Amino acid sequence: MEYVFHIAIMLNIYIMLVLSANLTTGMANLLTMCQAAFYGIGAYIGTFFLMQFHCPLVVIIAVVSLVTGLFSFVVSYASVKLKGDYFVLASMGFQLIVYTILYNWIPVTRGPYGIPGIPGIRLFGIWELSGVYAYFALSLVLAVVAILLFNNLHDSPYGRTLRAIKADELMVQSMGRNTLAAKAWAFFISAAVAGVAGVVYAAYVSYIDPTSFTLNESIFIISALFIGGIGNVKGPVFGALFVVLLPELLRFVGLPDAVAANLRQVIYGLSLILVVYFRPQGLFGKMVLK
Amino acid sequence: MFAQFIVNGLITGLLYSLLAIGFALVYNTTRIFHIAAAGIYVFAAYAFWWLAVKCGIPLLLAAILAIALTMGLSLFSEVGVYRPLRGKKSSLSVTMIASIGLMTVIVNLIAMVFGNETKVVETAILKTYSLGNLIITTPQLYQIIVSVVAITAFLILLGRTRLGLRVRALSADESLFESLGYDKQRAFSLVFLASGLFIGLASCALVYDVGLDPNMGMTVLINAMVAMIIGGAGRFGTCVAGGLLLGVLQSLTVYCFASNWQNAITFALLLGFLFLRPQGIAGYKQRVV
Amino acid sequence: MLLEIKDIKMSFTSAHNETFNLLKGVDLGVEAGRITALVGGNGAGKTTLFNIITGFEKGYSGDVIFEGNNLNKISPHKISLMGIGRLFQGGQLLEGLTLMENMKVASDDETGERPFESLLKARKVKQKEVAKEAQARAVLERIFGTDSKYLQMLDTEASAFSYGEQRLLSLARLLMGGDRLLLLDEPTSGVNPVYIATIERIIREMVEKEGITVLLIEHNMQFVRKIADTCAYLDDGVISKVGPTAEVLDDKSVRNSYLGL
Repeated sequence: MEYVFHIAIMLNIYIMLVLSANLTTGMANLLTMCQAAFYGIGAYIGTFFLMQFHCPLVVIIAVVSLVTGLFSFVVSYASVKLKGDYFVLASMGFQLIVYTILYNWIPVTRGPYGIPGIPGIRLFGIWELSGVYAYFALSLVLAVVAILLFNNLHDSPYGRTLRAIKADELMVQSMGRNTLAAKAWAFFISAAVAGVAGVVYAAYVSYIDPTSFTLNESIFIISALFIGGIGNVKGPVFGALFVVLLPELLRFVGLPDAVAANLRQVIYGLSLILVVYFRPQGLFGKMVLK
Repeated sequence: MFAQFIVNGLITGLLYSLLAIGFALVYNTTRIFHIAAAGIYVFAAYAFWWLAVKCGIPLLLAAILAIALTMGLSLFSEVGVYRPLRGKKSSLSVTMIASIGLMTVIVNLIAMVFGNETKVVETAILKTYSLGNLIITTPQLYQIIVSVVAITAFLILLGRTRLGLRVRALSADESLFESLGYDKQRAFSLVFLASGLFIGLASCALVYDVGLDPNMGMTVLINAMVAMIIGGAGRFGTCVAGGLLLGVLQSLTVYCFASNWQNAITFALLLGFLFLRPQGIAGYKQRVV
Repeated sequence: MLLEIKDIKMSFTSAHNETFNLLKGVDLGVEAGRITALVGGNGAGKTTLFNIITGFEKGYSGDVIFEGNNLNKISPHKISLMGIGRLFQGGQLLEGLTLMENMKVASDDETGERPFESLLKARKVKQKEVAKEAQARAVLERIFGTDSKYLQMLDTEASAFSYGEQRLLSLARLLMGGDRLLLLDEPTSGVNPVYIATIERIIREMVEKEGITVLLIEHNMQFVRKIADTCAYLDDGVISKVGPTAEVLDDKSVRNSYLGL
C-alpha cells in the first residue's frame, strides 16, 4: 500500500517537471534539454538550506524557486543569442556543465557519494514532514497548484503573447511587446517549478546524488512531454502518467528488473517515434513544435 | 611526458574527427540533429564485439562486417525514420525528437540483449611501439592508420570527385540541388551510408582500445558535436581541425588538472564557441535569421 | 516633419570579408498626414531602411528622428510603443491565433500580458480584455462595415483566412496600436488584384479619417501613383529624387535607372 503512495509522489513530481518543460518547449517553442539541470539545482540548493537552516515549507519553496529561477538566465541569454539548433545545443551544454559540477565539485556537492540524511521540510516551522503519507499530501498539493498555475498561464493574455511569439517574434516586437522579457519569464517560471520539484524529491528520498539529474533525465522529461502532448495542461499531465505508470505495468509482466528497465526505455523511444510521426502534437496536446 | 599527452590527445582527436565527419555528413546535408548517431555508434561497437568475441571471427573481418551492418542501420534511420517524417513536412526540431527516440530504442535493445555491463574486445596484452620518448600502443596505431586513411580518402573524394561535389552542393542548397535534376533521395541515402561508415570506423577503433557499454554513446556523440562546432559547422575539412583541437585540449586538461574534469572542458568549449564564435574556427558565418 | 532620416549609412561585410555599402547617406523627411512612397530597385535597401527606422537594425550611422525623438539607441518594441507601427513584407495574421487574438495582441495596451497578472489582478485584466474586444470590433466595423463577415469570424483561426484576406486583416490590425506613423512594406505584393482596391481604400481611410501618416514601400507603380502624395526614389544608397509622386515617376533619370525606360 505504501508503495502505491510512493508511485503517487513520483507522479506528482513528474507532473510538475513535465508541466514546467511545457512552458518553454510547448508554449514558447523553445526546445530545452536542461530541465533535469534545474531539477538538480533545486534539489541541491534545497538540500543545503534544509540542512543548514531547517526551513519551513513556504521559505524553502520561495528560496528554491528564486535561486533556480536565477540560473535560468543563463539559458534565457542563450535563447537570445542563439537560434534553432544552436540553442538546443547550448541547453544541452548547460545541462552537462551542471551535471559535471554536481559530480566533480566534491567539497561542496560530495559528487558521486551523494548527500544522505536530508532532513524533511518543516510545515509551519515545527512539524518535520517525513514518510510516504506526508510527502504524498505535500506533493499532491504542489502538483495541483502547478496544474492550476499553468492552466492560468495558458489561458491568460501572457499565454497568448507566448503563442504569438512562437508564430512570429519580430511581428510581436513590432507591436510593442518585449518578447525577450516574455521568454525570460517563461524560463524563470519553468526553472523555478522544476527546482521546487527537486527539493520535494530531495526531502522525500532524503538522499540525492548527481545520477538523478543527468542529460538522460532531461531527455526523459522531454519525451514524457512529447508523448503526452505539448501546448496545453492535460498533455503534460498525461505524459507524466505514462512515464511513471508504465514501469509499474511492466512489473506485472514479471520480467527481471534490469531487462524491464531497458524494455521500458524501448517503449518510450518507440512511442516517441510513433507519436512524432502520427500525432506530432502529442496524444493529448494541441500544439506542434515549429 | 607532456609530449606523450599531446600525442595521445592528437590520436583521440583523430577519432573525434571521424565521428564529427559522420555527424556532419548528416547535419550539413539534411540539417537534422542526428542524435541517433549515438545509438549507431553503440550498435557498431556491439556488432564488432559479438562478431569478434562471441563468434570468433578474425578481428579485421569482424570489423568490416560490423561496419557494413552499421552502414545498414544508418541507412535505416534515414529510410525508416527521417524520410517518412520529411514526407510529413515535420520540422527539424520534431525530427530531432524522433532521432532521440530512435537512439533510445537502439541503445536499450542492445542492453536488453547483451546486458548493461562493460565488455572488452581484446583481453591480451598487446605490443607497444616506442618513438623516442613516446609510447604508442597497438590499438592507438590502428586508430592512427584507420583515421588518417579514412580522413584523407574522404577529403579527396569530397574535393575532387563528382560524388563529393554533389555532397557539397547538397550541403549548400538543398532545393537548388533538386531543381538541377539531382536525385535528392539517393543523395541522402548515400550520405547516411557514408555517415554509418565513419561512425562504424571510429567505434571499432575506439572500443578495441577501451571496451564498450550501452551507455557510452551519448558522451561520444557530444564530443563529435563539439568537434564539429568548434571546427566550424557547414564544412567538412574543419571537422578534422575541431576534432584534433578537442582531443588535445582534453588531454591537456587531464595533464593540468585531473581526468574527471576532462568532460568539463568539452562543455565549456561548446558554450564558449556557441556564444562567442558560433561559426567555429573556420566555418561560415551564418546569417542568423 | 513627423519622421526625419538623416544621413543614414550602412554597410554589410560578407562571409568572405568583402564590404558592401548598402546605404550611403540617406536623407528623407516624412510629412505628417501624408502618404509617402519609397521606391527603388530590388536590393536597394528599402526594407533595410525600414529595419533601421523600427530599430531592428542597429549597425548604422546617422540619425532617425521621430516626433523630435532620436530613435538610434531605442529597442524595437519601445520604438513601436512610441507610435510607429509596421507591416512586414508578406505580413499576415499570426498563425495559431484566432482573428480576435490577433487583434488583441496588436493592441497598444499590454495589461494582463505579464505572467500571473491575470491571477493577481483578475478583475482589472478582465475589464481590459473586454475593452480590447470592443476596440477590435469597432476597428473591424470601421474598416469593413457593420455587416462585415469578419465580425462573425472573430474566433476563426488565422490560417482559415485566404492570403489576400489576411493581408486586409493585418492592415486593419495595425489600427489597434494607436500608432501615428505606419510603415507598410509592399502591402499589395502577392495579393490577388481584387483586394488591391480595398487596400487602397483602407490606407486612404487611415490617413484621412484617423490622421495617420503612412510611409510605404511598393513595386506596384500604378498603386503608388494612385495613392502616394510624395514619392522618394532610393538608388545606389541615396535618395536620388524626392517630390510629388507624378513628378518623380515621370522624371527621365528615374525612369531610366529604375524602370529601364
